[in-house]
Parts: sequence; C-alpha cells; structure tokens
Amino acid sequence: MKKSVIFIEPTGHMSNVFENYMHLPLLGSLYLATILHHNGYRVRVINENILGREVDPFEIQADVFCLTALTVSASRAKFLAAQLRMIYPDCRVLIGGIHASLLPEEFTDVADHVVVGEAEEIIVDLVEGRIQEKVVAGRKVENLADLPPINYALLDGFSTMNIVPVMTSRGCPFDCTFCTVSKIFGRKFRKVSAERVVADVENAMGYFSSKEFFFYDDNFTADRRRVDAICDLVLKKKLGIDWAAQVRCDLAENPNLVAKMAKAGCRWVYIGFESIEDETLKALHKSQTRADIVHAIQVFHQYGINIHGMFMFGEDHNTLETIDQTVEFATQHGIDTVQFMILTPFPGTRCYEDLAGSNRLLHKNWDYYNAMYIVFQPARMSPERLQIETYRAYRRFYSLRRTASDMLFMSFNVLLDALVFNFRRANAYRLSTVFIRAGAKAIIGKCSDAHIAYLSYLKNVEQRKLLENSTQSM
Amino acid sequence: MHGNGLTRSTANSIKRLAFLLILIGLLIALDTFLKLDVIYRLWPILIAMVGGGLIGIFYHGNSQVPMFLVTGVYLLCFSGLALYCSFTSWTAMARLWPLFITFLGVVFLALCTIREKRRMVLLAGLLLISLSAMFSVTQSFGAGWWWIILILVGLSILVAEKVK
Repeated sequence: MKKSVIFIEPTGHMSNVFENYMHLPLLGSLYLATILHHNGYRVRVINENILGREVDPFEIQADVFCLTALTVSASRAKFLAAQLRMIYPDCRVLIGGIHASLLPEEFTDVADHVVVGEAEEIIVDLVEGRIQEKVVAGRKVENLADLPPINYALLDGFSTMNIVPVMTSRGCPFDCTFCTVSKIFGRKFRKVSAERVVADVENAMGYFSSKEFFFYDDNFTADRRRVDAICDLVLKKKLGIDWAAQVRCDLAENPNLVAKMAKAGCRWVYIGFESIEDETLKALHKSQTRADIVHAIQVFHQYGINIHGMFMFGEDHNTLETIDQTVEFATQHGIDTVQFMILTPFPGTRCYEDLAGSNRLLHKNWDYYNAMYIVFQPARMSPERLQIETYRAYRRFYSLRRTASDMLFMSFNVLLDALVFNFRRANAYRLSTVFIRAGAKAIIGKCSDAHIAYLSYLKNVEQRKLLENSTQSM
Repeated sequence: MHGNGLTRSTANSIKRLAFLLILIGLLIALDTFLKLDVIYRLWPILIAMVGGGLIGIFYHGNSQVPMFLVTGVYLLCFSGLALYCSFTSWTAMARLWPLFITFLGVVFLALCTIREKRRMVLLAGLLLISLSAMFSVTQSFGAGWWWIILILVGLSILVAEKVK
C-alpha cells in the first residue's frame, strides 16, 4: 500500500489584514499533493487559515508530513514539525516554502528534509526516501505545462472557498529590493500557454460553484500577448468568470488590453504601488514613477476595473508626512481599496542584507515579519511612530464617514445619470467597492489589539537591548 | 469629492437635466393653459425613465451590477402600474396590490434571463408570481380557491426543473 502524506500550511502567529480578507491555499502544496495523488499516494492538504483553527497533531496521522514555512509561519511550522516527530516517531517530516528555502538551517533539527526551491520534480523521490540529504535543492520546473491540473478536492474544506485560486506563471523579471519572488522563482518568467490557463480555469470550475477567480501570479501580465490570448479564449468560450490578478502599473500603457481584460471579466487588479515618492520608488528598484501610478489608476478606472493598491512605509526616504500624503493620494485618486504595509526585510532580500548589515533590525522574531509590524529602525522616524501612523492611515482611508459619503455621492450620480440616460460613467459605478471597504473597516478594527500588543512588545525589545548593551559595557 | 471615478464632472448629466426640467416645465405650462388635464398624470414616466436608465447603466458597465438591473426592472413595472392608476383611480390599488409581488417575480425572471442563469433564481421568480396569482384569484373568487397555489407551485417546479 502506498504511503499516506499530509501537507500542512500553518497559519501565521500574528494576524495580518490580508489573512482576514482572503482565505486562499498556497498552490505549491496543492500541486505537490496532486502529483503524489496521481502516483497513487493517499494525500490530504490542510490549510490552517481555511480550517479556521490550528490543527491538533493528535487528530492527523500519516507516513509523511510536508509543512510549508513562510517567514510569518516559520515558528508555527517548526513547532508543528517538532510535535509531529515526537508523537509519531516513525513518520518523516519535510519542510519547504519560502522561508525554509531562504534559511534552511533553521529547520534542520526538526525536519528530516528541508527543501530549497521548487519541489515538484523531487517530491516522489523525497516521499519514497530515495533522497538522503538533509537540505535538498529543488529543481525549477522549466515547463510549467508539465504540472498536472490541480485536484482541489485534496484540500480540506475546499468547498468553503468562494474565490478560486489559479497559478499560471512563476518568476518575475523585475528585481525589487524587498521582494522574495525573484529569489525563489528566479527572474525568468516561466508561464503556461493561454490554452492551458483556460483549461486550468475550466478544471477549477469543476470543483467550485463560485465563478470568482484569483490569478496567483506575481506579475500576471508580464507577457501581454499571452494575456490577450487568454482574454480572447475566455470570451470565445463564454466562461462568464469574474477574475482578479496582480499586475504592474505599466500594463496601463496598453489601454486596449485593459479594455479587453475588463470585457473578459477582470474586476480587480492588485497593484504594488509601494510609494508615491519617486526617490523611494527608485531606491526600491521598482521601475515605476508616481506619474505611472496616476496614469494606471485613470486607465483601470476608465474600464471599470477596481484597484487594490498596495503601499509600503518605512523606506529610508519616508517621513511621517509621506504617510499622510499617501492616504491623501489614495483618497483623491479614488483607489478602491488599499493595503498600507510596513517595509519588511524578508531574509534573503537585498533589503534584509542592508538592514542587518547596518545593525538596524530590531529583532528576528519571524512571527512579526508579515508587513504589518515594524521590525527595523526606520531612518527618519521612530519605530513606534511608524507603527501607530500606519494603523492610523488605515483608519483614515477606511473611515465610515468616507464610505457613507461615497455611497451617497454614487447613489446621487446613478439616479441623475439614469434619469437623463447618460451611460458614459456606467463603468465608474462599482458598488462592490463600497461594501468591501465597509468590511475592511471591521477587519482593521479587529487588528487594533494586535497593534497595541506589538507596541508593548517593541518596548520590551528595546529594554532588553539596553540591558544587553549595558551588560556588555560593564 | 470622492473616488470611484466619480470625481469627473457631472456637467453632462446636469446639462441634460436642465433640458429635461425645461421640457417638463413647458409641458406643464401647456397643460395648464390649454386645460388638457393630461400631462401632470404622466409623472410615472419619470420613474420609467429612471428604471430604463438604470437598465442602461447595467448594460453599459463592464461589471454589470445586478442591483441596477433589479431596481431598473422593478421601477419600470411599478411605473406601468402607477400610470394605469394615474389615469383611472388610485383606489384600484386595493385590488391590484398583488402586482407588487408579481413585479418582484419579474425581477427574478429578468435576473435569471440576463445575469444569474440559475435554476433557483428562476424558481424564486415563478414562485413569487404564483403567490401573487393566488392572492389575485382568492381576492376575486373567494378564499376557497386557495388550492390554486398548489397547482402553480407544482407547475413552477416542473418548469424550473426543465430549464438547464
């Protein structure tokens, strides 16, 4: 009888706004699970966010456990791995994921194997025990079309997901200083054909009643011809899906493609604007300017596509005014929803090397490395101030007054346009935005305790550092 | 002024509104001076215009927000009833009230035809129309006719089952 394998995607210890908003599995585990399932293994995938609780090691049993360690979930992954080995001494524990790939030595004492990079081509050998090394280097999947269509049913609670994730490419040609994508997946953009993308969407439609899709790709539109072909196929096959994707501002240089995307069901784009200051964007190697951002917002809105704008505070050029100006900018330009994040130096990135090299990291408690908390000494403000102001920025953007006045203003315009048969602005009326913003406000409120707790944690860290320094000088 | 693409000038709509107001003013003036006593009864047409406009916005928007279709169809139906009452008598509403339920049913049918092509939406529409029909029948012929609802619900289920 073939072995049983359980994949576990642990939850991050500290709450992140995004985790509360979207419960999606990491498709890496599902691809690996599907490969093993095709090879006759008994496989389960457990995502603790989708499960809604932390998994109890006593309630699961398998010959092999595969854990995913992101930076924010690294300590939970370590804890789980140690527990599983203790409870089931005969089982084998494998750990992979971004954090394990960047810092494999952190996991060698709790896992039988730590996989660095992509594991699709070695997973069967690993499960069968044909690989002996402790730290195993994975091989990049050169042709993503070789991967089987995902079997979503292997995921516990998959039917509760109302947004369906699909991944169609890996790698990003850009090299932003703070991003881990190019470190893990490389700068070469690997992709599947438009036909395969649509086949994957149709495959997913067989599992879910929802027709809302999220393309997981870090830069979905890196190959514009492919996106054009995908849209053509979606329209030709009348799939009737609504979808969202992560894109870059430069897509707006091609308004015809944006128009086609909107026609093919693109309802949301997730854009890493990062900053409204040109010098910050330059320092981050973002390859875009404030003018590009403004243009992109105009173009996407012109075709009725909602924008989820992601901004980042804490870069060395940023001051407290930057935060205020960013909120003002997002409000004035009508960005539909935003994520205000704090620059987080993920291990392995240039940003991490710079900050660690200049001894500016406040601590290495990975639980807090989720872009919600300040973990380094900013150049032009105190860490506490940055933490407080970021939270305040959220509250300002998602204020109830702003949402209510937007709602009233939109209602007035809709009635006026309807009465006089003016349909030019029909694309501007995106009701879902208002509802999502109201929901986001509630989520922000829920995170306030975590912010306060982190501020006192920071105080403790500072006191400990002072103590250490004084002990050393004695 | 706020986002959502609404920051752009509403001048075009305002200008059209101005022309509309002038037109309505002139028509009412005509009605008053010529003692036609007709024009002011046509006010439900304004509601029909809003309803039609909402359906237009639904069709022209890439997102096709269902709420615009729902509200538009309901307003169109209601304006028809209001126009009828305006030229006859509003006391007719005492027996025509089940039509409000029918309108809801029509909304579901429109949704099913245009946007949400689901069996449950079709069934909801048919059930609401059946309910409205039962109220109308029992109102006209007496409470003893309540059993008509059983037949209509049965028929609704059969029709909904037939549709893919």
